[in-house]
Amino acid sequence: MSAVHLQDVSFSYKQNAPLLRIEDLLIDEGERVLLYGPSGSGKTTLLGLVAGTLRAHTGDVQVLGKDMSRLSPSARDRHRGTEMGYILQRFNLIPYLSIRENIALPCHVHAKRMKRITASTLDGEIARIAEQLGLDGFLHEPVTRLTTSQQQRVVIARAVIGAPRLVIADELTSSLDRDHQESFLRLLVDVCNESRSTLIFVSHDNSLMSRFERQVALVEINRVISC
Amino acid sequence: MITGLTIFSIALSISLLVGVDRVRQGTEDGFACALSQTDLVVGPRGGSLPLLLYSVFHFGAPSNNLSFASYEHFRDHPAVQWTIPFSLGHSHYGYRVIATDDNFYEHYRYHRDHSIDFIGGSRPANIFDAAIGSEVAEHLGYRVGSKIILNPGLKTVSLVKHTSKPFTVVGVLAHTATPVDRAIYITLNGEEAMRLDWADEMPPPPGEEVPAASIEKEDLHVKDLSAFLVQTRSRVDTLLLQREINNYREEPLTAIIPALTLQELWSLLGYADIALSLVSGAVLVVALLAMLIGLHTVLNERRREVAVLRTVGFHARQIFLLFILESTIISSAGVVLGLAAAYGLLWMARAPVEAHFGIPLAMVGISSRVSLYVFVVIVAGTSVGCIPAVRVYRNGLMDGLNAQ
Repeated sequence: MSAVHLQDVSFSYKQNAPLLRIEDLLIDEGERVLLYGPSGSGKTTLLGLVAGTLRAHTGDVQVLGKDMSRLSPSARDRHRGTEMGYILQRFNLIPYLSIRENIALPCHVHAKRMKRITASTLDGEIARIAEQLGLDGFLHEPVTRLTTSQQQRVVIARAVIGAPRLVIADELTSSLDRDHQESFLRLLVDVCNESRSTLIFVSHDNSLMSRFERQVALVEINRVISC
Repeated sequence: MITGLTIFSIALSISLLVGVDRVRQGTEDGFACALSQTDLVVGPRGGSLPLLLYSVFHFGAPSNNLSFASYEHFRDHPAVQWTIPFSLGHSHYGYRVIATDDNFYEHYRYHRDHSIDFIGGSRPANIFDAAIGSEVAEHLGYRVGSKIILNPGLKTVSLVKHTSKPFTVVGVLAHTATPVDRAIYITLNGEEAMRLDWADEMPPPPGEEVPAASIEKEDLHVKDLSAFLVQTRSRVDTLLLQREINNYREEPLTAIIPALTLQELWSLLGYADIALSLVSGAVLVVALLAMLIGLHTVLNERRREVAVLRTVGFHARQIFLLFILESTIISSAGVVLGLAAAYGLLWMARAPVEAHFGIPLAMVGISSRVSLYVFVVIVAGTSVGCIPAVRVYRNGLMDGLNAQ
């Protein structure tokens, strides 16, 4: 079954300046996909279409059984909240909430995410994920005390809690050095495996290719000729 | 920080608005409470406002007197229930000395139906007896039995005194929160006795004083009064009697209905009220603008927050609500703080204002005008919050995602 299926999708921010046109992109459920391309090639925009924060002008955007281009904005928001873990390029944590509260956020917003946790309590689930990501002991600290790599791990924890079917990560590792990138990706893949989530990982850096079972170059599938 | 300042400035303008309104109403109530059940105040021909102010509120001085014969005429009038005569002319350390008779203790009412009570001693009965208001007793430390020397005139400092005729405090009045607290009450005869051997406001030459002990009640004849209060038998009588007094042929007199004259006073002071309200309204507008600027300033920081909330599935509508909630909470907090400050200050200022300016300030509840202010501020605060909220709503998620 397909997790994401884009057909004849086009999108532009301004009129007469098309940014994306994708004839066909199919990502199966359970796949780990690296989507790479140079800066400005529309990677974040493509993720926005998949996550439902943007709406395609034409074409079908099937995500986990729903057509994002036909849902109402609030239905898209709900679909994203319940089925997806979305990791932004930056600005991922809410500064006045503790680490525990940041991780718990999706479960508080969506009952469905809460239902899918494997531990018996929410706190148990948070502790389990935190341990996996090496965050135990920090849970009640304010987020501002953490290093960049610790903050990124908190973001992963929040993205995977409640077993979303699709995890989307946008340039997650670009702020880390190479050693950290490696161990980091391993962690991400591990937690996604455990929750059997599909992973779409976006990067401008194709040196990470070996970690993914499938690689998609955005420049190759985008029919808009960039000048 | 910005939030705190915004709350503070909203609180400031609310407390100004409410303070102005409450002080106005408090003064009105305070003045209205000082005199109850009195239908007419009668004095010599003159302005109605000065008559009311000097006879009841101890502001200003009468320019002339009315004859005792005219008083007797109306005291025995069939339409009259009771009268209270007042004669002013002496003072003691700035406190008015009011010569009156037993009717004052019998019939004077304040706060609707409170009468004059004694916390010590009894009514003045003899020529040189005096009863003192609670503030006089407290401020000057007098008790029953204290001897006091009175000055002619109403000034605080007087070169001449009635040293040869000391008065004895025989009664201390209970606290009333009206001008009664700041006065000394003697008998009409007592005042006459002080005048007995004086001529043209000057003491008698040495050796010619009449010794206090030798003055008998029979020697004293009250010739004039400053004013008197009247209660009539019915409402209709009030209007008829007022007309009759104003047209009295024997002597030019003025009779006023106290509540109506107070209304005159308030309409006179209305301009000050409007001016102050306008100023506080301007402060409020500034405060709301400050809130708008404050919300806009933090908007940039909020973008990351908005982005995160949207990734976990918040709708744009929910985020819009969060912004409005924030501005509503800010303005409500400002309102609550402002009301508390206004009432707190009013409560604290009450005693000193009464003591220093003689303005009775009643504690009053929340009027419809105050609720209107509160309503307007909260609604305005909420609408101000809509402006950044609309911006965020329109920018949607991408703005948050791409904010660098």
